[in-house]
Amino acid sequence: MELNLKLLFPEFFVLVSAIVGILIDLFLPKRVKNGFFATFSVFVLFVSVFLVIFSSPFVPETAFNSFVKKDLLTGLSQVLILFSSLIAVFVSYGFLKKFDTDYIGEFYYTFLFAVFGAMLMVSANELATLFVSLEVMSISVYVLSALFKKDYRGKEAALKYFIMGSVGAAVIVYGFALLYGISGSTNYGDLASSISTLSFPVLLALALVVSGFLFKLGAVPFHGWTPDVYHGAPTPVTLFMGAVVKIAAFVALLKLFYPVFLPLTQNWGEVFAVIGVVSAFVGVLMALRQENVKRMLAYSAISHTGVVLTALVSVPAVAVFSVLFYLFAYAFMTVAAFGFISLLTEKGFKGENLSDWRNLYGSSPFLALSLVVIFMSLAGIPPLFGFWAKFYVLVALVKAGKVGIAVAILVASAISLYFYLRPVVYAFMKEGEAVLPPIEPFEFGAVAVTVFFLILFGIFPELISQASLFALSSFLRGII
Amino acid sequence: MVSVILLLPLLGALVVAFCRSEERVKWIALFTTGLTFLLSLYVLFNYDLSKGGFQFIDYGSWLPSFSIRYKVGVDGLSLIMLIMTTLISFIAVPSAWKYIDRRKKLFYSLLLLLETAMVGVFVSLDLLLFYIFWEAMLIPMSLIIGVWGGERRIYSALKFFIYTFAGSIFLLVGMIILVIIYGSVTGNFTFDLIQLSQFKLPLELQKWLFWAFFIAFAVKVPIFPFHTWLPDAHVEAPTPGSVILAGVLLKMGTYGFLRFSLPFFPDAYKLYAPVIFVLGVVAIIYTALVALVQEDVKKIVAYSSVSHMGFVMIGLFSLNVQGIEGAIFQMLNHGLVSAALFFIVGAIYERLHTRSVEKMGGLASFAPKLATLAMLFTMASVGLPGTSSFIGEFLTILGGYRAAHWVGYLMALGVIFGAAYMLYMYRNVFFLEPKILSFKDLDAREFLALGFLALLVIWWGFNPEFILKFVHGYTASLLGGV
Repeated sequence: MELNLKLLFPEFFVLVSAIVGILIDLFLPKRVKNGFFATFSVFVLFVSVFLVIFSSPFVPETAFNSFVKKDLLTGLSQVLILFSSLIAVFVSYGFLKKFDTDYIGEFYYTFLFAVFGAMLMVSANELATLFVSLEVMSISVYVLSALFKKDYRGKEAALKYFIMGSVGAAVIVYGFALLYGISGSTNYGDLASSISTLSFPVLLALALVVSGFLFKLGAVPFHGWTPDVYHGAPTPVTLFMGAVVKIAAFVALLKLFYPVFLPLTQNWGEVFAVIGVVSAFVGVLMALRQENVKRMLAYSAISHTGVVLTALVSVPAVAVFSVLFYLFAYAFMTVAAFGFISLLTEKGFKGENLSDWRNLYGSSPFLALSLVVIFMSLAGIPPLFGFWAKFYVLVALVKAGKVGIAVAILVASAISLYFYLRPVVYAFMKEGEAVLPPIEPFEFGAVAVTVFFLILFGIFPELISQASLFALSSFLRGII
Repeated sequence: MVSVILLLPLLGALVVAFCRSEERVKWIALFTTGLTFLLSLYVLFNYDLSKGGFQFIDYGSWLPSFSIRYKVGVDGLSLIMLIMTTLISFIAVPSAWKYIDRRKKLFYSLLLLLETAMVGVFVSLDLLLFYIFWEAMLIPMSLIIGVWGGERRIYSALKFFIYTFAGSIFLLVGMIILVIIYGSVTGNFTFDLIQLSQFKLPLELQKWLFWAFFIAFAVKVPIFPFHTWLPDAHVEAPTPGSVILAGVLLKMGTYGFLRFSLPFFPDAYKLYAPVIFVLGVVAIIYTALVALVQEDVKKIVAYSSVSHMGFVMIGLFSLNVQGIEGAIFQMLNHGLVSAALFFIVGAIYERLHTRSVEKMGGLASFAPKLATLAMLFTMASVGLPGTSSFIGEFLTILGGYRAAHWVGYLMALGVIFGAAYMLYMYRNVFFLEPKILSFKDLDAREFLALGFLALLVIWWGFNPEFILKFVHGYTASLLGGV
């Protein structure tokens, strides 16, 4: 029995804090709750960042009889998850001031549970742990979506997400069951050693698991839920969905995919390439006509997911590197974009539509310029962070000899320019008056910092490249 | 030194952005662009002609994990382009002085950002660095068109942005393919321009990559049939936008052909020259004919740009000394002349609020200074001996003639059409019966800016060697390699 508990210290810290949060919630008067819990969550997340940094090993280590395995890939993605969550808390603080709810305490501690689920998910090295952590995260997000008063849109989104998400989870768990039935183990290492041929049941199991993950990622053909849910959910929750859930699902998929699935068949490349290219195109084509920015970003998320998936065509080292880098850039951009929307939203969902952003420059030059940075970064215009993400994926594709896919992705990104430019057009070039809600300084600061990072990492991407390379080499140690 | 020129406008943009006064920003912008121009003159006069090649090289590691370096420097070609860019940016500020009457802070910040990006395009010695500046320029330029432009400004800004971006996606893929092939053959993964240009690709690959690069550059030049964004962008852009667009942006495409296509894919370049001749001749004659029937003054000048860039393209692909030197000279000269013409059109628009030829007439009697300078630039555009255009057009026609006789004949025909539409426009605007009641002549600011350009046009018309001496070494080494 090998426990190695100290490896899981950051996760436990978040979990215990969430439980402490439940207890504190019982004794606090309502008016101080928002301020207290926001501070509490920021503190918890901030401390966890340091715990993750100090406890992540370069040489992969396992704990709980190798139920979890941690390496720098895990560590890095946890830092990214915590960073996104930190911004989400700042954004939520402002959002909860504007939108009424009876469940302020619940909001924050459920949020911490979701963070816990995501953190555990990226360290899972065993099917049951993976599934449980996935569900912890997903159920928390379902709950978070439905917590606001008179927010029927949010409740509808929560229900939709719940029903669809349960189907997705069921599909994954069917796959897991089959894998367990075939190999007699749920551990990745044992799975890899006992399944060596691609028989029909194995193929079925792999197809189910991959489909389930594609569902969670929102890739075509399992993308149907994304626009409604992204649009309906409260903006800070959408932010969490867009950034954290995506990172967690992608990294968990990488950790499962490379040791277990890849040795079985080499044809994954084609599968992911087709799904990726189709997602990229469906995403951008559907986004062209959206007037609601959240909905537009939902479609743009589908297309970004597609681009990341195509990178998996390349050899593992290059693929993992470019996926990781892309996730970094994507997380920053998503956080910035939804944080920005949340800043401008007020009661009655005003401020989410493009037409509410007319002449934003006139009302607030700084916000309008941030908007340019955010959306141009999403479009992948240099010298912003998003460009490098796209660039590394292209390098990965060309290295694998898939020039056609590289061109296809770029064509999709040229089409995407049309809708990424529309917010800029509204904010700078249309006449009108954008009415700004009162701007919450913390929320504003959080968005400003992220925007600053988009520029900084756009000009000096080496830092993120090096971090991704370190994570990559640590990850490769574990699977070879 | 080159890095200072590159970063100075960026610094200026930041100063402008944080400046409190809306009026003072003009002066900051004027000072910054002026200083940048002086610094680029310093580089020009300190460039060692006897040594040739790339000089003033600054480099530093930037993305060591992908061996992408920050590396800038100038050779004869870059130097000419650098001078042109800083000069046109310096002229763009007075052209905006009154025309831009709202959101001045934003405008001058964008203008300075644009200058950094343009300078960066011409001095980058690393492929990716080049690409970053090439794309980064799109944001400020389309904002300038979209915010301060005319009625259809949003459509034009989007068209400009998406059209150019769509063109350059092939450039990006082409660059990556080139670098990866170079890496797999030599074992050295690098984006360094100088190293890559010494590499000989197999012909089959050259053909593909040539077209990949071609699309990106052709859109920017623009070569017929990729020119449709240009009239829209020019007509809708505010005066300083048009000045920069015509003066500098169009040269980026032709610069790209010289800097990348020719050294990287010499065989494909030679192979496809006839195609370019046809497209170039079509551009020269077709757009000249289109310009003849336009009512909008700005459109006439815009189409004349497409026509003149046709000369440059043919010169570039003629692959002889006269053609290439003429093309480089014509790039510089077209930069000055078209910038001046757009400046004049802008000055007229500021006073009359119309650009229609029909509503003007007889301006010469109200504004002798404007009429004289406009006459000079019209003649320069036509290619009158004694102006710098004559040198450029003559050399490119000579180059075209040496490459294929019919090209030379048709180019000369284009010159005649050029004279027709320019003189026709000049007569209708400045002579004939006056259709207006009053018109203010140029003020000191406009007169100084235009006069400065006029002096240069005449000086370089009589003394082209001042510019060409920087180009000789470059052309010799370039053609030696073909």
